Amino acid sequence: MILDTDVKERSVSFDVPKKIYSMDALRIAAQILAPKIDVYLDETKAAYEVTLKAKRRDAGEAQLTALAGEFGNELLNQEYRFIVGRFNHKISSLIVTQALMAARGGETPAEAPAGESAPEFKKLVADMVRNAEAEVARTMPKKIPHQGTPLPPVKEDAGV
Amino acid sequence: MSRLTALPSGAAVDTGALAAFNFRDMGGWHLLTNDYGQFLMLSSADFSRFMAGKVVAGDPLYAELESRGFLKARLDFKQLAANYVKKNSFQWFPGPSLHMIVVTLRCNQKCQYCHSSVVDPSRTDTDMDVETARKTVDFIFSTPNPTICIEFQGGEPLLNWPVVKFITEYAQAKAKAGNRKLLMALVCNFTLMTEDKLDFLFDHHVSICTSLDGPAELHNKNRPFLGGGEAQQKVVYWLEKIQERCNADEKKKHYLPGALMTTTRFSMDYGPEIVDLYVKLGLEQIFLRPLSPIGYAKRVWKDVGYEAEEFVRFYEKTLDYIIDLNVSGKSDIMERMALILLSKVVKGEDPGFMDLRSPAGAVLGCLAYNYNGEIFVSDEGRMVDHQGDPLFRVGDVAKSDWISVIDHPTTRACVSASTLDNQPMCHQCAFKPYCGVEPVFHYETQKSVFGQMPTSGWCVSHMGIFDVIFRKLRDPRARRVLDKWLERDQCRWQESEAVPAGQPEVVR
Amino acid sequence: MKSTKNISKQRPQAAVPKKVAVVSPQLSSSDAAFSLDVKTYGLESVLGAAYLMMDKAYVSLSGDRAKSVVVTLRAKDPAAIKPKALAEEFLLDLASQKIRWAVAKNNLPIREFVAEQAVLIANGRVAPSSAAAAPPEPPAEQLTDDQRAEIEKLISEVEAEIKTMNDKKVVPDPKNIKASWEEKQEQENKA
Repeated sequence: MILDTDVKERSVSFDVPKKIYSMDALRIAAQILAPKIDVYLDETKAAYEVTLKAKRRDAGEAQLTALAGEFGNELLNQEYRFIVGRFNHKISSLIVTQALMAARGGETPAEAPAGESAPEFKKLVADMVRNAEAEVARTMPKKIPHQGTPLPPVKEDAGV
Repeated sequence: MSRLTALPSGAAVDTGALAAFNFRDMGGWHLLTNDYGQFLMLSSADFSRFMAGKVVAGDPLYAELESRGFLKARLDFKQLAANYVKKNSFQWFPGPSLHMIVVTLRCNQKCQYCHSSVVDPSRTDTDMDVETARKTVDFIFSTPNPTICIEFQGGEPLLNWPVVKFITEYAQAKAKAGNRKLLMALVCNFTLMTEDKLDFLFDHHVSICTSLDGPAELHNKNRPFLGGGEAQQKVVYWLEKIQERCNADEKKKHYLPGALMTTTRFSMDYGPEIVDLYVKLGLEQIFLRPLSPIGYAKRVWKDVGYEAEEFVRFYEKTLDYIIDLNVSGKSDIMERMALILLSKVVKGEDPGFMDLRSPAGAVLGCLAYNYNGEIFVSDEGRMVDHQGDPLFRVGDVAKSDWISVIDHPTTRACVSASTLDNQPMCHQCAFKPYCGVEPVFHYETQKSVFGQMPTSGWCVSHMGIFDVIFRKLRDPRARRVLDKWLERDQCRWQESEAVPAGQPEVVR
Repeated sequence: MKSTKNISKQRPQAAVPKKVAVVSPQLSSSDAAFSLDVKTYGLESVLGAAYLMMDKAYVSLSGDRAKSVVVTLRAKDPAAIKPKALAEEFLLDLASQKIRWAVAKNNLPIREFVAEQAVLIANGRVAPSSAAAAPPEPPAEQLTDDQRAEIEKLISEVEAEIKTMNDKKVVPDPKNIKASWEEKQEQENKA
């Protein structure tokens, strides 16, 4: 792969031959690497002309080359996965369908058992709820309002 | 050669007579396996003969190959199908059996690696309320599996004790009314345990498990109290106390507490010492598991994490130590990861370990319920949500029914991604019949539920562990120990006999 | 992904590696490149071997899937592995991939058949095997030539039957679970 890097623009460009790689693979690779790069696309008859722009402001020549390499590897990962998936698709479809349909347990959810409709059961549950709520009020610290947003996503250079 | 290993250069091969198989060069010998869970360990010379099509009828090796389904002309289709059914029993299960309920995110400890993304004890907004608890139990009982296992998690679940009690009693009432088998387990740090709580847990047959990372200096470094302070002493105190009560009462012998350790970078030099502590405390098993860079652990990976190869070296060294203890008679402690893999490899059974199934246990085998009623494909999926990404959320107990959860696109994506026949490297791996991939792990580390196996830490560590286990199986001294473990494990399951439906039952 | 014009005005033409002998790599100070005939090796084997190098190399492909693929390997850590070592490893894996894929293709119908039988057994539509009930089969070395020929014929018939069964889609799928999201969208758009 011939790389054209522009450190000032934090970009690296290269051709992706259409007779080897598919648009599907390109899209998936772009999505997977989206935390690290923005992907720009142009095309000729023979190739997709891909430009990656690094999101990290301090990306240098080495990092840009590595990003292009990662992108190329991800393209291969997807293309080969398609091949393997197509080859084994009857078996994998059988397994996936079987597992999902077995787990589903039928077309409609089972009804609650008759025992739960009995007045004694309903009273038992009502008593349990009341006792639990009383114990919460008696023994637990006061509930505060919802405190807001979850943690922000971890930075990509976490070293994982 | 690559991690899949390769054939010797210039090897003579005649594939015409060979049934489907995968192979692995184990260094001096070769491993053959097939999709039906059959395996053979061959000397390199025998492997070469097999590949060249030179093993003929009358050769003792021929009978071995034939009986295990490696010869195309001698396949017993019905037997192979029966093996497949037994090995993949989980594929026929009607829905998840394991339901993990996070009753609060509050915790009084600040463990270095905490996956659970805990908050400090003042955050009562992260306590599950009684109404959400009731709806969670109702949802659990709407799933179709006749066996339900509820596991309390957190944060520290004892910080929301009234809701733990409510869920226990309500679930047991529903199990009785609906003739369902119910098992219950509590995972807690023991620092808030009291005699009253213990009495309740015993009376309601709730199994208890805690975290014990090792000797005090290691455990306290990994798992300090919030605001500092040493917790290991309390863990050991309650472990011993609960054991004392269990051993004093024949009916309680199945409720002996369990302990789990988490391997951090700091654990690497402490393998034998960790095992010695578990032995000293009379614990039956130790589970040597790698830490996953998911949730909060991903943020602090530089401080607590390690390379997959480092974990494999730690695993082998520590397993060797455990085997030595068994051989010498000093202890009969078992290693849980080895036991799980041995059940799959030697017995051809599924031991119920969600992470090593194809497809994985996400939704099909387990669900996680957050304090606010949100439903996740697994506890790892819940941790990803806590970091700001809701991808693995598949429902809400207040709004969703079981059908919407199993039909959810994320469920289908996880099932498809974790089916090893869809995985480029796994479909050729000798460990494929026994292994599995975890979609949440790969999403967190490689930004894709499918992942990229050549560069996957999950793949490196699991292949490494399988290498270790198969080498032990080939070593007669280690094999005797492993066979005894399998026998003991079998006895244990047979002892906890079928309990009348609706009655509470122990879970280990 | 955004579409734009070329952002670099003078982009060099991609250099086409010289055609190399099938098993001889073209080595530079940083790369190892192979030109591989797809008919000789099979596309699956070529991509499979390239795929396995991804832990230690950046892999790029060029050429034409239908004819000849050029695989270029560049070490992620040049100090850890040289292009010659990359090339040797790739060739070993390429030879192995060819065998692995040949075995896989030879046995796919049987694997599919057994998987289907397993599903049917698990769903109670076929009785599981009973080793005790079946008459013992003769050891292989006692088979006559006629018996061996019969077995080969049976295997061929089974493989042909599997192909027919697969076309009939034995496993019911009333909820169309097997369909991909894209296929479902297409069906909905057509409806």
